[in-house]
Amino acid sequence: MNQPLKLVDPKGLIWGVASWEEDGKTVTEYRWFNKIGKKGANYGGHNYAAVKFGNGGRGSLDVPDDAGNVIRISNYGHVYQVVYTGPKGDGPSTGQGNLNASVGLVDGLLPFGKQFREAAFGKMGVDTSAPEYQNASAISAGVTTGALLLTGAGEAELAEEGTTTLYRAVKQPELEDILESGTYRIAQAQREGKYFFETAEDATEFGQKMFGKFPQEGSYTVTSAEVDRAVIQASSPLKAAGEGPARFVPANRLPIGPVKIGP
Amino acid sequence: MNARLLIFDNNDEVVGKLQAAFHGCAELSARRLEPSEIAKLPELDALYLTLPAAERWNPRLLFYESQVLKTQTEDNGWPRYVVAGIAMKPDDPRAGITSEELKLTVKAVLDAIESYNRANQDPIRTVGFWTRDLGMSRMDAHMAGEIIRAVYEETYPQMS
Repeated sequence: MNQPLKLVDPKGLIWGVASWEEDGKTVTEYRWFNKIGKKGANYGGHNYAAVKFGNGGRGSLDVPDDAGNVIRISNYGHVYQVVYTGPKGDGPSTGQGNLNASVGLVDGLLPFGKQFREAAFGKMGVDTSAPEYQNASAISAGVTTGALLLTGAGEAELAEEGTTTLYRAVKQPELEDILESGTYRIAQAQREGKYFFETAEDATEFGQKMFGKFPQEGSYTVTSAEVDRAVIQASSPLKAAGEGPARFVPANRLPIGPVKIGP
Repeated sequence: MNARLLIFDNNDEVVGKLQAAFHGCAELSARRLEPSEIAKLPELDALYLTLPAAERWNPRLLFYESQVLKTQTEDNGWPRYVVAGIAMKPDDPRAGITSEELKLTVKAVLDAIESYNRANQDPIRTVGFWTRDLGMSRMDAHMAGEIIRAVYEETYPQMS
C-alpha cells in the first residue's frame, strides 16, 4: 500500500495527525493526545497537528486503514468507531460494535477484531497485557461505553508545551473587570469559581445561546487566557451536559491571566 | 405532587414532535416560545440552565448531580429557582452523546427537585427547559421527547 495509515489507541482528548516518509512510502498516523498546542504535539520524532473536523470541531472524519477498514474519528462522543470492516469483515458494523472506541472493546465485538486492532494500531499499538486493556475486554459484552478507558498520560503529553488556552464568554461587567485587572478574578458574589471552555467555538456558542435567552442581560464577548500546567492541574475537567468540554477553576486558584479579549 | 416539566422551543415542528411524544402524560408539555421569553414566564418555579450558565448562583462542581439554586432579589424577572445541569467526567464515553446526556440530565433534575421538595415547605412544581440547553437541537425531537418521557415515568412509575 502506498500510504499506510495507522490509528493509535485513544489516550486523551484530541486527535492529531502526522505524515512522514518511511521506506519510500508516505505514512499517515492518527493519534490521540491529551492536548495539542499551537505548535502541534511531538511523538516518536514526528510532529502531529490537530485534525481539522468540520461543524465547529464537532464533526467526524472517515479514514481508511491498511486492512481495508474505515474508521470514523471525532473529538466528541464516539471518538473512534469502526464503520466498515472491509471485505474480510461483515461490511458495516452496527449497534454495539459501532459504539466502541477502545481497542479492548474491538476484540470482543468485531469479527476479526484482534487482527483488525493489530493492523490498525500497528507497531505503536496497545500492550494487550496491560490491565487497562484487559479491563476493557472484560466489560465489552454488556457495556456500550469504554471509549476512553485507556487514559494514561502518554509520552506525547510530556513532550508538549507547558501551556494551554482556556476560553470564556463574558458579559459587560466581567469584561470591564478584565480590562481593569487584566485577569479573570472572582466577582464579589462568587464563591465557587469559574467555568472555561476548551475551544473558542464552544465559548462563542455559549455566549450566543445565553444572549438569545437573556438579551436583557447584555451581549457576551469571548475572551481567552493561556494558562500554565499548574493551573490546569488545579482545575477540574468536565463535560457539562448541553455544553462543550470545559474546565472549572476553583476560586482559590483565581485570578488567572493575562486575559486576551477575543479567542 | 410530581414536578411538571415544560419544554420550550421556537420551532413549531420541534414542539409538535415533543407534544406527540408527551401525549397522555399531563405532567410533560411542550410549548412554542421565543428563547428570550422563557425566564419571564410567571408559571415557572424554576428554570433549567446548564452548569456553566448557572455559574453566578454558585453551584458546586458535583459530577452527575443537578442542583437547585435560589435566585436573589436582584435577579429581577427570573423564576424563584434555577436548576443547574450536570457535569460529567470528560472521559465518560457517554459525554457528548446527546441522548445519554439527556437521560442523565432529566433524571438528575427530577432527583434534585424531589430532594428539594421533601426538605422544603415551598415546593418546586413547574420547571422550564429550553431545548437547546438539553442538547436537543442535535437530535430528533420526537426521540428526545420519548427519552424525557421514559425517564419521567421511570422516576414516577405511578404515572404510567
